[in-house]
Amino acid sequence: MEGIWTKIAKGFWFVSPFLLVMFLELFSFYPFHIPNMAVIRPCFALVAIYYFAVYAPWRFGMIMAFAAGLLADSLFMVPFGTYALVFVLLFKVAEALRRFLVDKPFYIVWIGFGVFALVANLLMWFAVAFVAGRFTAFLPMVVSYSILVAIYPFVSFLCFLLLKLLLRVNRYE
Amino acid sequence: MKQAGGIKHISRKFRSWLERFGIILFVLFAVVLIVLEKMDSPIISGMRVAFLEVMLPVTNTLAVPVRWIAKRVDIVSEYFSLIDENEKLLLENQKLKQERENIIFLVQENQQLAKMLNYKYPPAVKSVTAKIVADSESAFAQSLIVLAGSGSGVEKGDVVMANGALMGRVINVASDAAQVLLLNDVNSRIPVFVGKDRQRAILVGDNTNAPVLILFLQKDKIAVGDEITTSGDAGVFPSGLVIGTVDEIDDDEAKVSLVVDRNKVDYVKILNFGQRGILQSTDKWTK
Repeated sequence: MEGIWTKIAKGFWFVSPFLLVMFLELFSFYPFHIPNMAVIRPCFALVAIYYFAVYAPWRFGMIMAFAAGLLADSLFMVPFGTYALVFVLLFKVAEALRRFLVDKPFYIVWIGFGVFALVANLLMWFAVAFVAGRFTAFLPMVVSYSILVAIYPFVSFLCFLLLKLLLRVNRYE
Repeated sequence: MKQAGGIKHISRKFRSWLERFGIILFVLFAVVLIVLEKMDSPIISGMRVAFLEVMLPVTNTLAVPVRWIAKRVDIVSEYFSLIDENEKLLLENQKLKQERENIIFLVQENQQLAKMLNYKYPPAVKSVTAKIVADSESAFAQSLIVLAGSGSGVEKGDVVMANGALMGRVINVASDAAQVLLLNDVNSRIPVFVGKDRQRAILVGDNTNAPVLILFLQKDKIAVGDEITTSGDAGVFPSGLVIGTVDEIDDDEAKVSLVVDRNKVDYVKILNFGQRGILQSTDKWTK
């Protein structure tokens, strides 16, 4: 019989990838006063979702992707459903292509993320324009996308550390 | 044992069903939410209010380490500009002292003139000062969350100002927090007056720091540096609130430089002028 603390610990490790995504969303959400970069705030959680879809989709399902999307919609105050749609589609497509990506060198996976992030940003751009009835400025979106791609190695390293930790925990259980 | 096996079987069936049809279900659900948002559905504003109620304390607690890092970054970056900043502040202080003297004189003069003319002042405006606890400035949205809600008397449609200029309006209200749509959000459209000739135009956000003026009739009567104030046409904002100045003029649009620099504002003033204007009719429609 498992004790209550063991069950809580198992539950915590189960949701830990989701918690990491949540933390990354919060990291993008709170005010950082960067001069002349007020509107540039990419959603770092996109990196984590792509990473988990490629390297450990069994640890981060579609339900989690959808929930993380709804949370991002609320946090970033974009039209409800936009991040949810983008996260679910990104997760599903990346998961479908994981056989191709999983054993490839780091730079190929990074380029893969570049393509995914571009599609995700364009999708967001069209969805926001659909609701507002007007396209938003294109340049902030491009800069936001560039930062997101540039930050990929750092965020993916965090995801890598978490997956490594989860492997170790599983070994001891 | 049999029961446990049954539950496992159902769970396996659910999983395989989710694998096959989950994507369609979630995509459909997301699309429905986007369409509801487009229709200004009360379901969506209800969801946002519920989020504000539930998530604000949670996010506030979880964000402690994030705020800690942000504060340290701010301290380091401020350290390098300390001497310049001090010189600027000394000059500004001197200027403000002079301006204060002028203001005192003008207020006294105004009171005397009002008394002579028997002028009746408009009713006092209800106001609340609130701290900004979060913002969503990004390429896709421009709004804030402030720490004052219906409990403090804040209502949907209230005017939000900082440094004496317009910043936005309240769009969702929870009991202890409110969401503010900034002037530069792509969903913001405000009827304004431009310049001394009071040319009518619409100020539209495009998610950059500089919203644009559209639908002005006489381009030659608009010049760079012209002041922009609310016209009060839609009845949401009172007339005469300062917004900014014309920064750049193109063929059929003009870029606007806002008075309020979001990065330098931590507190805002929420004012209730008792005007609901066009918002009243949209509320009725959504109900």
